[in-house]
Amino acid sequence: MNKPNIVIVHGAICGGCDVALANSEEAISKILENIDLAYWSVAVDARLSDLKSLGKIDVAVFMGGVRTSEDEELAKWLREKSKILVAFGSCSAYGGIPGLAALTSPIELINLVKSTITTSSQYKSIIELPKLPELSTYRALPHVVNVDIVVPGCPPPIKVVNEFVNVLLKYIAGEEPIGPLVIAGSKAQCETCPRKPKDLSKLQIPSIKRIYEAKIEENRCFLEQGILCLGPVTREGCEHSCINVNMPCTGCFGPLPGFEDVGLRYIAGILALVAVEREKELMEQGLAKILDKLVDRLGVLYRYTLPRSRLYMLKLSLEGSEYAR
Amino acid sequence: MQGKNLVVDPVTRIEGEARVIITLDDAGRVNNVYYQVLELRGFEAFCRGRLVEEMPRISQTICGVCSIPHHMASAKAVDMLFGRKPTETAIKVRELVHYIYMIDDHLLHLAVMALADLLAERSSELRGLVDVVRRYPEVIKKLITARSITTSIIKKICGKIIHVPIAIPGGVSRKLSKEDLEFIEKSLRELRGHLQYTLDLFKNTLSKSRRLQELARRGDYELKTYYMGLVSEDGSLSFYDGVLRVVDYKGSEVATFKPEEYTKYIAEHYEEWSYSKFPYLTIIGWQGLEEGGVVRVGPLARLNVCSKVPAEWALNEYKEMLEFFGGEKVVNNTLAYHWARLIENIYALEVVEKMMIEHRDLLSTGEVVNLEGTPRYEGIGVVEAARGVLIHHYKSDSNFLVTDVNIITPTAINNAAINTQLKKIALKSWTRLLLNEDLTNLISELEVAIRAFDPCNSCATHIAGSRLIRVFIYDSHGNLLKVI
Amino acid sequence: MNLDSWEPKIVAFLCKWCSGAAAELAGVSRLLYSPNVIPIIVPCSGRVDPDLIVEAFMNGADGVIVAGCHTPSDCHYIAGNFKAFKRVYMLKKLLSDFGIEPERLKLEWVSAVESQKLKTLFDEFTFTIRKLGPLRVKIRGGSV
Ligand code: SF4
Ligand code: SF4
Ligand code: SF4
Ligand code: FES
Repeated sequence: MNKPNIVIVHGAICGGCDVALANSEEAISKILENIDLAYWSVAVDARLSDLKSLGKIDVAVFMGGVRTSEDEELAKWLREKSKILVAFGSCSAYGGIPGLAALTSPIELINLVKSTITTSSQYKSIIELPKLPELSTYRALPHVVNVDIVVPGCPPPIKVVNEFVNVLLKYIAGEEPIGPLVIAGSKAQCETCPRKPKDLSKLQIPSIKRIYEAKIEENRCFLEQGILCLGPVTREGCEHSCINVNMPCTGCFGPLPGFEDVGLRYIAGILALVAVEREKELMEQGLAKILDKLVDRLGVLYRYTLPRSRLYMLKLSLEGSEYAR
Repeated sequence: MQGKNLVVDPVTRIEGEARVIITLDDAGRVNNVYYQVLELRGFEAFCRGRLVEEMPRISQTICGVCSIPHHMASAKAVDMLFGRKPTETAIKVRELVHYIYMIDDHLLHLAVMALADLLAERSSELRGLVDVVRRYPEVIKKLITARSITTSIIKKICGKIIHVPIAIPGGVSRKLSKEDLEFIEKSLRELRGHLQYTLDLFKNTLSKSRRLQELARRGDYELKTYYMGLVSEDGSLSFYDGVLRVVDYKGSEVATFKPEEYTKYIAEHYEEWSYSKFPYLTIIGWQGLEEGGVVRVGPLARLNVCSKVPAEWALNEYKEMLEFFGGEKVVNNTLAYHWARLIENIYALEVVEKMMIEHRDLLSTGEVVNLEGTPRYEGIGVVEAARGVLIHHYKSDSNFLVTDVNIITPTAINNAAINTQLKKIALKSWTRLLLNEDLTNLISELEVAIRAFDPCNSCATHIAGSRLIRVFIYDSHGNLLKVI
Repeated sequence: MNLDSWEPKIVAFLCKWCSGAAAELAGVSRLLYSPNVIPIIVPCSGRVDPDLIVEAFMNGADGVIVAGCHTPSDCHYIAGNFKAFKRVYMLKKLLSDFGIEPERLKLEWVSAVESQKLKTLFDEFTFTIRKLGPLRVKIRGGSV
């Protein structure tokens, strides 16, 4: 019997997801043993045309965000061709950090990139630049096509990569995919966080502080120190990588099941708790001022998930906007 | 020779791709060669408006291969912007991570990009990592083990291996524990043997392989350029801190300047045909893609600019390399980049070993962050990434929100040199380009050169480690003749 | 969309103890208020999740009102209105981050007897939305 095959393809990516996969010796050797690695531009010398000539694809792993019209075509083609489609990494699953570009128009993007702050530029043309593919709306993969497996993380940690490969092997052995399966916990980071306050419901967030202002205590919940931590709205499964080195979670594992929009969730559940014990006294003079401390809302609340936020969806659905499709 | 010969890949992926373009003159001879980088992810644009203290965590996603130097250059830019001097403990922790990263990245390059070129007995015999895995499983196994040591040290200190969350303005988020220190010490002892192995592997291969020797001695891989790199105040090889020094192809010093002064010395040239800019040295001026005017960065450049390699083992290895290439002070051979990389590994290891003895206490005690300082609202941070000088430059408003970002990556700096190198090879080897001939071998020679530079196109594009380099050939009228 | 026939759609989340009661009073007193407003009674303004407000926008609302009991001490659940304040305040900022006019969302304190205030609120808000036009999105540097 023929080995099932796997292809690994890229949208807009930083390369970290490739390295993350390569970093797991266990995962790589299991893949090479059981599956035919038919396409992975990092490790196999093949071209996109080779990919397109494959008769069938069993597993397609998509890394990176969907950024250009070509990315989108590729994603749709893969969905049609492959039995199992995987969104690997936060860019693919939720948009990732480059997804923050979703709110800037392509024209402005190009202009800003060309302009540098301090260095001189000269313009001269020797040969022509092939046409850039159209930068379309920045989207996460599940937003373009249905996916069967989501592997979160920026990039996914080794343990998650290994678990993912184990799931793949089960599917290949005949187990039926049970529809978008996220290789992560279904509870919030806080549940298992070593810093979890005794009584989460009595959590007090005195004010909002930025990390440049505070000496962060090592064993206390970040929120209690006024440092915004996305743990309460983020899936567990990274073993608290950042929290363990005394940095707040920024949410790369994506939203909890049932709460697709991290930012709205955070406003409802956590920001509403800020200065909770002083609401009355502050209402007149400064409750708003305390909240004003959160200046870059998009970068803090939607660092990895902006393209999947509901307000972005709203944007996409609205008539007359450049995003209308 | 019009449109008829056109071979265009039906699925032309452009964003994030690097390609080689060859233009011919009327007689069908090579006229020019361009290495074209097409990328646009727009970090300069969407980093605006972000909290500047978050930049070390955000900007590093420019590249997942060299996320740590982006993190560190960003951290240094942010330190300066806040006007904070990081504590001694913080500097040591950052340096430790950075030096281990250097080894890690060099090993990754060896495994993914270089091995196939180095081990192949005929050109393009080994097409990519998977071929190497099949033919030389034991070599790959060794490299994997070595990398698992470096990655686990990084993970131990930073919590993650890629896109690490450790640097903050004026410091680091935490110091090391006793357990961390012991783990690192144990790991370093193991690493020693592995690095010895890679060096031996390289030298054995070199001494046995005719092809490699021939390539190494071939004149067209010699490129007489300027070199730029960080050196510490006393001129020693340095990866994290120091001043930028520029030397010419004979090793004479052309300029030495503080990283903060880079705008006086480095400007960026822009060509409509590439999305990667062409940084150049202002004292030399933009001279086009010509050997005498371009500057190179990276492992070879670093060895060429420094006046000291203050570590015993690395120094001996360095001397051996100099001897092989003719005993001059400066090595101009592009293929020497591979060797330089392995020597740097040894150096980085020796530096870290020394650090673990001399600064053991500092790593685990003392203040992790300095909150004092007078903000300047502008900051510049420079480090050496594995592939060369990396510059982050930010401005912010009074609320510490980013207003301007400029990032100059080593791959961009090497861009002009890569172009020049390719042209040299093409011009010399292909006196006449027969369009219907099988060009695979010639292409592979171009690829060997490109990969020697280790262009992390992720920094510029996203094809990290990709062996996919397409060559486009145009006639003198600008018609596309062939795509290979 | 035909702008001539366009009528603003406005959803108002009214706390049942105060503004909800005021709406009833307005009814009883035959106060005429803008027919564009669709009132939805909720147990407390503190129960209006930002997600619900966005849901309203996604389902065609051009503007949303949240009304609750006066601060500091009128909320039956002690601090629901403060929560509402913080949520709406943040959501308005978020709307503007996404290129949506924050004026499309309004928070007001209305007691059970302030039916006139409620009427004015509805009418003025309808006027504001009418001026803003149908919900649309502006993007940074866009070409449209
Ligand atoms: S998820 Fe993170 S590591 Fe993966 S491609 Fe995106 S930015 Fe890179
Ligand atoms: S908010 Fe952050 S630090 Fe606090 S318990 Fe949750 S995950 Fe842990
Ligand atoms: S702590 Fe949060 S940001 Fe860090 S790796 Fe885990 S999920 Fe991602
Ligand atoms: S009961 Fe009216 S706002 Fe809480």
